[in-house]
Amino acid sequence: MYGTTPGRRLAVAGVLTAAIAWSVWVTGFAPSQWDLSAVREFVAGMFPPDWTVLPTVIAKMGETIGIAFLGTLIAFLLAFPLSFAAARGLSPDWIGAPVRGVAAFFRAIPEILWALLFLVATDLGNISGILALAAHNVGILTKLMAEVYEAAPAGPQEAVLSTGAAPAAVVWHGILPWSLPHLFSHLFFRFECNIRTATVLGLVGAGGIGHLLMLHRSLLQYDRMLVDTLGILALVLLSDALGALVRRQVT
Amino acid sequence: MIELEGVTHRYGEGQPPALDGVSLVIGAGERVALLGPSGAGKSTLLRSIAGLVRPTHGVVRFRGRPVTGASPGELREIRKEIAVIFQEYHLIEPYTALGNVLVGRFGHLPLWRVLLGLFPRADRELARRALAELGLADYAQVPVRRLSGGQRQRVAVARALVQGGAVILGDEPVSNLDPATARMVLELLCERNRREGTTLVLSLHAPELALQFFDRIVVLRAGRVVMDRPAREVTPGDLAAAYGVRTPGAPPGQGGGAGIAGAL
Repeated sequence: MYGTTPGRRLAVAGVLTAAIAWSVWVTGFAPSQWDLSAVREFVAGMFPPDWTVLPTVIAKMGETIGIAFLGTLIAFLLAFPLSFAAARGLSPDWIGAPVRGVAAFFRAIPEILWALLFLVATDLGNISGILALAAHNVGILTKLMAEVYEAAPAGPQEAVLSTGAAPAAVVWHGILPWSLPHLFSHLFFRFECNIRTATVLGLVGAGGIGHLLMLHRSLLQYDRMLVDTLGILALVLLSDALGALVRRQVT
Repeated sequence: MIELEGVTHRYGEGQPPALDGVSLVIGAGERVALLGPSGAGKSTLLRSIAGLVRPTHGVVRFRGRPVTGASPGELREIRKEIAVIFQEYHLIEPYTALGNVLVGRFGHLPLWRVLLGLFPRADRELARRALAELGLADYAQVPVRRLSGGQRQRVAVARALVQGGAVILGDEPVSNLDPATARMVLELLCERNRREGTTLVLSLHAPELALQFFDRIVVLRAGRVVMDRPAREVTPGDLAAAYGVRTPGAPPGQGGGAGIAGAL
């Protein structure tokens, strides 16, 4: 890793210095030019926090959880059949390869881009958020679930096969029982990620607590923004704790 | 019933063959014990009969129909008739013992029943009876992951028994059982053979069990059949010779192997 010869070390140091210089130049990153008075004004505006907005914040937190839940669920329902088609060894390559390609395309587009596309198309905040999460996650879950099937032990599959059972029975009884805990683990992890993502999606207008934060920012209500931020923090911690709890139950 | 004609199988390019030109005819209702040191090709032989391994060369036939190169539909029909007891049991871990035994019925049921796990009462009875015969009546509802090695092996035997095919292949089906239970299981399989004419082809590591329960002994070494003889004509010396074991002071195959047969 670290240059083993003086020449190599010098080359690493040179590349690093050039990268820093270039990045500072293109971004105009210069602490000396920061206007700290804006920061002071912002922080002063946050205190005291305006707790009257708390009921709205809580309601919007619920909305964000709902967006994340429905987005994950729709993604799972679509990914379930697709994952079998995408798994190597389970379906012929002329089916598997295109399905894997489409899944790769869907997950290559970030949720926030999907949200912007759906906002333009539907002009509906929450629904755009749900569809954006579903679109990105169907790509992720298809891949993850297919990989679970590919890793399933061959023994039980062979046992079912050797009874003369149909291929569907081999998948259903030979692969799925072993795979289920892994599928649920992936599913809850994606739900946990989606709660976090859903707050960000709100910032572009796709509903939930993020949307409220954006609204308060545009009205310069920093005291309310603080309450929104605390709400987001609580939500993320909550989803972390939930995810850890579920994974312990499942695996 | 089962015919192998010049069957050779290699698991990879350049690897020594697991089976090397094996030709064998096994008649209906025979009880054949496969013996031989580990790596002799016993598992590969059994797997190629069941159509789970496709030989590199040669042909396997079942009731005159080729297993090698059969269509998926034909292969399913053949597999229904050939129950396999796997060396590693190959149980479905999250399922109960009863659930695993019922897997043996899959080939006989319509797909919707298999997918929904709705088994006819007669099949459930059959599975329960098989478990009871193997001394596992009280474990029917226990997930197999909580069973001991020997119990798991008996679940695998029960699964093969309820499949009800014309042939039962067993890859070391009693390897994990205490001597008394091993005899009980072999007795059960032989009873099935006597009552229904089920052909038995089992690999064993204990020659004395082979001599006691089977009517034909086939010994494999390095992928080849080195002995194939009625059990009553096999002497301990023959076995020692077939295994390639030499005893001090006596050349193999000339009666010097009595001590070895005991040790084997």
